Amino acid sequence: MLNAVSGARTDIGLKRSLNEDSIVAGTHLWAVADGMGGHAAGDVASRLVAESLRSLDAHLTIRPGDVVACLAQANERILDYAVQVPQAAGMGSTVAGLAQVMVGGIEHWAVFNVGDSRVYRCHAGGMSRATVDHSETEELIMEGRISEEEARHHRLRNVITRSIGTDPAPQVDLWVLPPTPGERFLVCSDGLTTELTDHQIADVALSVVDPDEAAGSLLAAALAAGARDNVSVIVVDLPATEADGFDPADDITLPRLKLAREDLHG
Amino acid sequence: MDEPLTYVPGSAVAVCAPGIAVLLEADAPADLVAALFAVLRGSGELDDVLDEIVRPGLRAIHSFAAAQWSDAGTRVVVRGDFVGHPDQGEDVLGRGLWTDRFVPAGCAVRLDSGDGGDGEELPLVCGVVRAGRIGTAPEAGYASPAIRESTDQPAVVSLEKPEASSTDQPAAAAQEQSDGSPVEPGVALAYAVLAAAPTKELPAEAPTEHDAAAEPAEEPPATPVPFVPEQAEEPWVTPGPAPTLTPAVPVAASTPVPPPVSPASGAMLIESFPWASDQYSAASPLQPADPWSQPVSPAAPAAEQPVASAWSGPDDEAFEMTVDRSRLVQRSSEQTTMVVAARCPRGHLSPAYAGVCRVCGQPLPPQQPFEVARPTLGLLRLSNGDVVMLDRGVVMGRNPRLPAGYSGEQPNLVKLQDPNKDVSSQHLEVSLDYWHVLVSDLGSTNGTEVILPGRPAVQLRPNDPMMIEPGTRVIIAGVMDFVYEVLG
Repeated sequence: MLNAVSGARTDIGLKRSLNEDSIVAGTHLWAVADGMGGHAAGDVASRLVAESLRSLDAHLTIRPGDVVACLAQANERILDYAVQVPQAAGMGSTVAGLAQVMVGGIEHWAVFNVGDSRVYRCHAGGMSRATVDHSETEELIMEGRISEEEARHHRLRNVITRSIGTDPAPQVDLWVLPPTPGERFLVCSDGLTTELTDHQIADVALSVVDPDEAAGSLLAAALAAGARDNVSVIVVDLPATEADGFDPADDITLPRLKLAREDLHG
Repeated sequence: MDEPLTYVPGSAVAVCAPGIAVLLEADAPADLVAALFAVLRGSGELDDVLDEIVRPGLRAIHSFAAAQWSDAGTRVVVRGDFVGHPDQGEDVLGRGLWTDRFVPAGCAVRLDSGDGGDGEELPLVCGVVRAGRIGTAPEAGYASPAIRESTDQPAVVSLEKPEASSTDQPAAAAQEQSDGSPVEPGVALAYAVLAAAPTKELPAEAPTEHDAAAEPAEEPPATPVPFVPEQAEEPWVTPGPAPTLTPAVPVAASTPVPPPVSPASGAMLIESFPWASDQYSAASPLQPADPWSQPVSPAAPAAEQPVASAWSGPDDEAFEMTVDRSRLVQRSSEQTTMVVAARCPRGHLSPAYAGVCRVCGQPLPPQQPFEVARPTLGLLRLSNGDVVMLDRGVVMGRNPRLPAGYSGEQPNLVKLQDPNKDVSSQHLEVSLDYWHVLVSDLGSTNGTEVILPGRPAVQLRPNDPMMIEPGTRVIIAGVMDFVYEVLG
């Protein structure tokens, strides 16, 4: 298992009466789920997602397919709940997260999301988005009709195009990448990204070394900016050690023919 | 069932009679529509409807939805892409040949073809219309006190002499106009029975009208409403304070709802919607306020409060609530790669131009291709059994990185375990192009071989993509491999 360290915060914010975000800060799986739906059904939806993912984290080895299957199960649970509790119709949840997975016998990251909660990745002094939002405004941005800044204030910013709790089940975006020592991931709900620009987030994420402090600073910044929604943020670090030093020689691949001759001659 | 069904105009074809409705694809054959209408006004049984639909063959119709309402509940049958939508519980989705489900009483059910507009809900007691959705409206919707009033009225306004009716004639009448030329049923019958009052006796009397419905309807094309007052002399028109209007619209309207326009039809006898005009405004003192004169909220079903506020108004908590767009519109279209697809009998998606299904090999039936977000094209099965899904591309190597200048969705980066360093850091890339899966060697030291099914191994030229098929084996640096498989 990779030796990741993390810090996590979730907060009701300044305007809401209920925190419908749920977070998972596990040993090798971290996620944020942002629930929606009237009558506090959003709270139930995000908790159902979080519980499903927490059980997955209990497994020692997980594969990307396990994450997708787990979210499909969470989807079913939400649908079942909505059937039994008719006032909860329309309930659903986003999810965004990071999991350590095995692919081909090697540990990789799986970055996954459904909806407009996000994962960012910081590396080598830069921060970039690791997920694509499933939202109306993201589509407008991709079409070039609005800018990122406009999107944060757009009247359609709360309309998401995929969520956990739909029939048919939503397509989960899952991106596999190998771990890079020294990288940092942020997993957050849109309560953070609506209040702060990517620059403001990067300022904190790239400068505060301790992940727990970083999560706290990001929450504080969101609260200072108004926190109109619930705010959740998890910071996950993969520390770099000398043992992880990158050896340029790693890049060299020896032609097999040559190797064979060396083998033969000991 | 007391309440009439209501529908929203669209391009699908809805055939209904009290307590039963069928929704067909836009290109449903005219003879099927006519036959179904005859069945609906005859036995009115869903099983007979299903009999009629499969008469040309089990899979002749790709999508349809049908429902029969009774006091015990509603039986919903759905096939293909249509949806049965109860206002409580799960949607009824077509699986296999069709899905047949019983929804308990007290639940409104709507059949949805997916291509209805945001138009107004219109009542329809019996007839054939171009609709996007049809069914019973939720409680909060369109029932009106006037309905109960009008149940006192004995039957139906019919547009022909009572003695002229018989159960045989409707089918025949549907086929021809007074001049003998065949009438498109969707048009001829569409407006014939909007006039019917929603009484319990209605089903029994349903056959008594509409035979020559086409005839009177044709007469004054400029006045599309067929139940013109002049015909009120007919004995079947119910006596009452406003004989011409009372039986007209089941839902209270002082303005009779005019017949629906069939937009695709060239043989239209209806020229316009007169409901905007005052021509038929309230004459009867008994008519209560017309609920239909209130504009119906087009955006979403009345039950969804968050939706209404998400689209209007300044900042308040309701406005801030997140909603899933699929609750607002029937279709979600994302900025993902779109492909033109056809469906095989098992429901798999394949390129529209293919002759057989890319997943199961079944021949693709002739059909109208449709645009859809590209499905996952399959998976790569690595030597140790692990799989990498092909919903996006993959770069494989000992230390894979995103190729410089990469734009678009980030491919999966799969690190390969190779202590002997035979595999290059960036060894190969599997990419998706429309429906195709391509593999490309990224300039590796020890090369990449591709073995297409039934063919000898081929060495890839650096950066020269090759299209691969399901069952292809790719050998990396001669030391490890994976196989491309489609999802079963």
